[in-house]
Amino acid sequence: MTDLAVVPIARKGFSLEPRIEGSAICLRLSGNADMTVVGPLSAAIKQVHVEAMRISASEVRCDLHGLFFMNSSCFKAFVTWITSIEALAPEKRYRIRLCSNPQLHWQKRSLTALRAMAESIVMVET
Amino acid sequence: MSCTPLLRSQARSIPEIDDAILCLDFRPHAELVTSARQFVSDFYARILSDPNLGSQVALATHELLENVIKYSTDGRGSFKIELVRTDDGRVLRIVAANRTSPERAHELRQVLDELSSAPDPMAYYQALMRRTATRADSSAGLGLARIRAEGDMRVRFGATDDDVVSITAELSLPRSEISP
Repeated sequence: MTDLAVVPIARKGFSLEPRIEGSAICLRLSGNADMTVVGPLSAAIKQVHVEAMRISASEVRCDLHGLFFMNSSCFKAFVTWITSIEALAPEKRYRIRLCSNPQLHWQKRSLTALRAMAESIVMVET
Repeated sequence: MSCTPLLRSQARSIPEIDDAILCLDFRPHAELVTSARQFVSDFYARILSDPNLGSQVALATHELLENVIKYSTDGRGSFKIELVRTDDGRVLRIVAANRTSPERAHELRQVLDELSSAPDPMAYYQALMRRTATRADSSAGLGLARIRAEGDMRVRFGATDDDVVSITAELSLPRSEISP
């Protein structure tokens, strides 16, 4: 099994758990992604991007079922991530699959906005 | 940081929703924002029949309170949510106000003028997402554009004093969206 050089986040109110599953990287985000976690979340996403390229991941799956809210600064970290993937040569690109919770209504609107940015890269799953 | 929240609910009862007002006059800090958002979300879930609308109000609440924390020069802010009757029906209005620097007030006015004059909120939001992706500053107005596009709310700037600014976000509500 390949080790993943992504530092997990475990804070009161927010966590990010990374793992490898086949050719995909899986991230489980839980809690509230607010202004207190912008720095760690942005750093973790940069690490994920580096790791996804290193292991030639086919996709990064983000489990958002337990993510109650994400503020605009954390949202921006996802926007920056998407543009980083777009900047790669087409054969190096990987997909981001966002697994959403339909009970959390903000997710539908926010994830739709992320998908609209890059439909060939971002997939939203309910 | 000291924190002295004062929560005043003037909602007399749920059926009497014409003047349901929530006021927060406090020195917010980051942890308190999530608590305030959850309270507002629960409160309006009782009033609005569509949970999606409650979620829009919660989003605006969170983004505006974080703005107060980031830009208030004295650490204080006032925050009001009211449900009011208008000629066209009902409007849910959120007003966040805080003291700030003249430079920030000027910048905020420009951001909101640009945002409110954009004919297509979602197109503006998408363009701003692209523009801010590589900027070092935290979100550069993305939160306000998010309120406009995702929250489907009108957003406008106000200045009540030389250095007190306010942001008003309004959501028009059809009568059917209010719980009986």
